[in-house]
Amino acid sequence: MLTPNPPTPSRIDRISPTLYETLLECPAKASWIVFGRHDLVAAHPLAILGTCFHEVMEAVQKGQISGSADECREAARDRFDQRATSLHASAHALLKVKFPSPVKLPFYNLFRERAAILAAERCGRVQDDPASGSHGEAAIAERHFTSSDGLLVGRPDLIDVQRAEIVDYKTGVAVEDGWRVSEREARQLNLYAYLAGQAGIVVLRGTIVRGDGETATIEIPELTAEEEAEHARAALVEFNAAVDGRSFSDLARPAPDSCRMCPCIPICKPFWQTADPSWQDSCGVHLEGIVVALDHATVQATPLVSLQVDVSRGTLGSATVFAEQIPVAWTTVDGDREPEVGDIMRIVDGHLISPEDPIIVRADRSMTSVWRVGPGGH
Amino acid sequence: MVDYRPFGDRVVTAPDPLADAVTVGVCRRCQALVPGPAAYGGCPYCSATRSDTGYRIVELSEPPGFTTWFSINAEYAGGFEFTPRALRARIGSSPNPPTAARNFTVGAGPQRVYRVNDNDGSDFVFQKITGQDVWIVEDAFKQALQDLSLAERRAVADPPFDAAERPLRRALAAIANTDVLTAGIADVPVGLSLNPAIPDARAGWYSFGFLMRRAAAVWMDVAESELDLGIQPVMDFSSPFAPPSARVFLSDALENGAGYCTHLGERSRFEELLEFIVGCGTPPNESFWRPLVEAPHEEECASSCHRCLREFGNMAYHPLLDWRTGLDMARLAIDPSAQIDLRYPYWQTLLSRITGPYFAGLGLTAGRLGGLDAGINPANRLAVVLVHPLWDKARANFRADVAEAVAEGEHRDLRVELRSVLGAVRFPYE
Repeated sequence: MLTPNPPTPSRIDRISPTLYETLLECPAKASWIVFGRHDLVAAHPLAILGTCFHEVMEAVQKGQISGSADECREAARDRFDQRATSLHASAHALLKVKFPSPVKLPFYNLFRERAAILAAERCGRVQDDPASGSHGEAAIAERHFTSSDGLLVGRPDLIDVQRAEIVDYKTGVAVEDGWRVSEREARQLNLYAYLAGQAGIVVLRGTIVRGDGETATIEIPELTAEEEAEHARAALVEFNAAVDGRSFSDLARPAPDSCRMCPCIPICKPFWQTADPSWQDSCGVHLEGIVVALDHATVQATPLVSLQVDVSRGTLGSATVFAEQIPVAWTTVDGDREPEVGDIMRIVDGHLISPEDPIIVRADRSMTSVWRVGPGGH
Repeated sequence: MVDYRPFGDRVVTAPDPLADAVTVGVCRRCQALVPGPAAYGGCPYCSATRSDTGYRIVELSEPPGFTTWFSINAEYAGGFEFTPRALRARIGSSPNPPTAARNFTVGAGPQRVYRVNDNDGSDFVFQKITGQDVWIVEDAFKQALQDLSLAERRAVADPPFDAAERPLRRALAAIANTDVLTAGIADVPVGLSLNPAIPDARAGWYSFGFLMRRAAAVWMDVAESELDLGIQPVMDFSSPFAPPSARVFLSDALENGAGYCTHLGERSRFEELLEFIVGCGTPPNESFWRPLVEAPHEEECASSCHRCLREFGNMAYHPLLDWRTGLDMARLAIDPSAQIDLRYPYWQTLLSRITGPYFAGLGLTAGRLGGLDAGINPANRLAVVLVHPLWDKARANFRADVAEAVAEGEHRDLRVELRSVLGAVRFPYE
């Protein structure tokens, strides 16, 4: 696949909680979210499953899933499957080559069952009543809110009006006991509370519901919500002030934690200029180098190519790396030609098989992608 | 080790009996054998790193002959290893692509079969005896002395090793060219794992293989010992994680082949063999299937016995063999949508017999998580869920019913542990 061009950053009109978080991490990534050609980079399979999970919970909150617990579970599964099928159909070709059907996406059944169980538990608890006006509703689900100045937008999963509570569903489960709402989640809840307040809905607390049904709640004083909104506005103003005449690379702030699972890695020159082997633990295995030899094989009717790469940049440092067993289809799925000797290649999210000389990397991760750096050299 | 040759009316020893070593890679995790291995890297199939218990490069020598230390006056006391240290029979990658039908792949043709004894991953270090073309392993020599009385032992001098010859590290092998049939599963459904590096799946492959061998012996009216058996890992690129899958191979015991495997490896004939195993086909022949799945065998055999899969020659495999898993593999080879779960009649009856005592023995309260049997300890929040041996225990590839059980356990704040029925039957308190 040929590395796509990075987006040309421009001014952003409004900011959502997700964009706010991204701006705090890396303005270049924020510009990718707003202006990038997302059709040129494969989505993370978990992102697809997360969307399906939220689709189910939205249907529950809107009363589109109802009945007995068993009926709710079954309806939730159907909803999940339908959404997954449509997202898979429109997904990047690389994802479809790796996972020929949605049920083959890693963790598909686990996410689906978590959604089904949570849906059965939440069915009939609080449901949105679209017929009601903005006052007197029991709950509001997945509704768009905009601040009075139009700069802040958001779409909370659920507002339980009677309990004055924002509810946000997370697909993952807590890895340890006694978990709390993270700073990142708190910022998101604060912004939602602010937006709800702007719409005349009182919110006093925010709750995170994990995929296993566990919950954690924080209190949200009005002042905290307003301060968060001010910070978000300031981040937006700062971005817009900095963006004129600057490129994607000028805005990038590569760092081990913020680059972890970042979709921009294939196109982000500053990442490749900055990353070093100390990033590997938190950020993964990414390498860029020139192909000095290659070897073709066909195994189980699958054409494979192995590359010997003189690596010059990335999280492996300078070394000769053997990138083994790459399905050829992964390199040509966008219509690009197969790799050749002399090409500069980037392997993103590789699987390190042997860390000692000779270093061996395989392209067998669900997020592995293999890119040929085009003439632009991004 | 020695290489005796006739020379006129005498027998002489030829020099270098360990010459002409063959270099291969062997993986103890997934059973791979890699002829001409790369000088670097782990197992090309399962990625096991280089170690004595994972993937390693081995110099193989085929012993041209053996000699005893006949100057020592000692009776052979005999010895029998129930699980010999020799590795199982292996083959390298197949030269010809197999053909596919239903949900199986099958191929046949001449191939090299390797039987390797690598001293449990340690190899043998041979040293030359001074003035003779005899190479011995000092550890083996010392071990043999243990058969002697202390007085006799004291009378035996240490072997005079030739200091000018460097010791040679070798694994011993018997390499034969013969006819080989390979059979695999074409499409592995979501939620199943046939990765031979996983013990339960490996048990499935061997059970399938020995079931196939027994059926073939009945079908062709030959002795089971006419056919040898092993498994061969293969890449499975239907998943981006590329775990290896496998094929089972049958080989003719006779060098250069007796023709059985090429006969069975013809696609339609192999299909008939599978149908014979599972009692379908036109007309259905249930003579092999029924005695397995019906009482008294079904009631009395929880994994394998001499009425189904065990025989003297496959003693080393007995702990792995399970007729239910073997039949499931055969059914899957015929039909990709075959019911591979614990509701299938022969699993259901087994579970109805073992679940209660098993959970009671572990101090767990029997219950259900999702639709699966589970034993729960409310005190430490542990839930043991019984799963099919071929079900994948990796969260990324759960079947829907396993995912339901795990998600329900998470929701009830339980620590869910998946345990295969095969393990529960054979090693209940492991």
